[in-house]
Amino acid sequence: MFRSLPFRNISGKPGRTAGLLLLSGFLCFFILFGSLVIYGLRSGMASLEARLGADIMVVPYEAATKKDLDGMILQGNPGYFYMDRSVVDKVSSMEGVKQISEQFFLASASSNCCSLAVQLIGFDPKTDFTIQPWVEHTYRGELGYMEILVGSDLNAFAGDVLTFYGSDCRVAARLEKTGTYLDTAVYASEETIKTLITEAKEKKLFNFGDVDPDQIVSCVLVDVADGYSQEDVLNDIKIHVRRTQAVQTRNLISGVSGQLVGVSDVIGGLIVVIWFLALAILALVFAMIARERKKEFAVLRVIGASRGKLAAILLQEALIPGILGSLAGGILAVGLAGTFCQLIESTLGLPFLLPGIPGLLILVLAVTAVSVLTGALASALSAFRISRIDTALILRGEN
Amino acid sequence: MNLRAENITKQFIRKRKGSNVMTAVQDVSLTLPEQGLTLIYGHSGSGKSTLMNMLAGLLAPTSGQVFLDDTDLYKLDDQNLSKLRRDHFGMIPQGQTALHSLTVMENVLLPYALFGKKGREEAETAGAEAYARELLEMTGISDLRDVKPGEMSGGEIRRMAIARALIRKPEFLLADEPTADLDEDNTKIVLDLFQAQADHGKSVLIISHDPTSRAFADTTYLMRDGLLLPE
Repeated sequence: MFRSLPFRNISGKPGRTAGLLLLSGFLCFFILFGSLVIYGLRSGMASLEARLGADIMVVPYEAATKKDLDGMILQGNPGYFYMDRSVVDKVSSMEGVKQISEQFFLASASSNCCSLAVQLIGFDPKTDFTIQPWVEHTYRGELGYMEILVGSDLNAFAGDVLTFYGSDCRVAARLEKTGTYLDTAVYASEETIKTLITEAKEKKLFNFGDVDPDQIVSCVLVDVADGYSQEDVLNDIKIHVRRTQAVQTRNLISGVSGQLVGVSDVIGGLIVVIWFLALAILALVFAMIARERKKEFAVLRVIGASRGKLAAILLQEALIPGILGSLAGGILAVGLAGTFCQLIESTLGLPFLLPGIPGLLILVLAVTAVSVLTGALASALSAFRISRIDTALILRGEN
Repeated sequence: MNLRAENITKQFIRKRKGSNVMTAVQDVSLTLPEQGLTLIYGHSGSGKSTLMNMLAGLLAPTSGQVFLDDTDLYKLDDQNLSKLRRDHFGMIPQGQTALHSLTVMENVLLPYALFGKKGREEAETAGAEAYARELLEMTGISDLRDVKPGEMSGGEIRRMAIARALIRKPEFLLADEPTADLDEDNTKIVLDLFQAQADHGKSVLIISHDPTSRAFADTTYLMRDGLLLPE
């Protein structure tokens, strides 16, 4: 004897079931994929904000056009620029500056001397307040001379040896993903970067002329003290530290934030439209199914099915393909988002960070639930109508 | 058990004619015997099917009451009325009443299978599958047991509905035009089957405009313009 009438009805009508599966799958796929894109962009931006970590960046005047910084920070284009080290002391002595830390940038070459063409970032472990809090998530040791940390997008792991300008550097750890340019960079101590700059100079692969690595920095990161306005400190730096440009990191990403809001709004709007469309189509489909099969439901009443039983049968017939279709759509959405996250990032030109496994599971379950509930909601009216059918009139062919 | 209607009337509002009221059944009292075959015949539109639906607990009368022993059917809630129908009535409605996603055998066993694990346990205890095969044999469609209704004729589907109505061995068998799609031979087979049920202690009510049935009936009524007239 068969076990479940809804299952038999579903398997007995493969065309109708395939349509419901596709519709539920499409709904779940679109909502989840759209949500993942929005989530990825928002958390990418939050990650970028967190990783920039400083209130103000002071960089050489020549390299301070917003386009250069955007290219480095948002798209991860390797680059380097330098200014005199005296800037560090000047900035640190200014009123309202709580702490500062200098960084050194160097782009490795794509020739034989280097394993990878990446952005190399040097920091001073004694003063750094932006990179180390993040590094500590995966690496708590002290970064030694000629040791490096690699971003999560680079194909290198702890213990590997990478060569930059002919010098071997040992990978101490691979950092956790941020969804930003930092994932494609390599991090080293100030001393290591200075050695690499010297090596680059000797190999004539360094385009900044005859600079002394001990007398230069690439940027100074400033943390503004409580009670001081970032704008005031910024203006002071602009006035008193010559041949530099000070940039508020908040402003650096404000344009991108606006773009992000725009993209999120469009995707969010599309999700709402698709949801309403799917709800309407599903409701119509279930209404048609219920109408087409009202005599079958009348027969069930005759053999003793209660009104609640009829409603439950129709709801189950909606829920089963809804759950299966939504799960398939959800898996497809996660698979595609995971596979093409780099493409999404480069196409939109924005930081992109997918949630970790627990977050992803919660999102998948939540969206699947929304998709399944949409099917249930769409069938609810038909289920209610079916439960109120006038069996006698249907059997007489008058309804 | 005793199924009786006391002064039941059913009126319908004619939708197309404003508030005009159409009386389908008028002040009918009827007691179905615990055993025997009762026939109600009459022309189309005389109120036969409306009366049967009211007796089956499917259509509440405008006035009057229907009792199964001391239970007033229309004072029960839907859950209990449905259970009562399932436990005591076997009904053969008019027309084609098959579930098209199920085979003939599954359609016949539906009154058990519809109710999940409990229904399956009841079927097991009652030996329902063997009885279903027997019924298919008796109605002459045993070779169609694995066929779906879409491949069957109207008469075959009608015989399947009869087997389905009998599967739970109900005390009351209510059949609305059970021989409508059947040829002479099959009509006789079905009426013999109903008579055998009546002879084995069941109460069978046949609604029909087919005079052939009269020869099989223990009690006959004529329905005319909503009134039930004994013959």
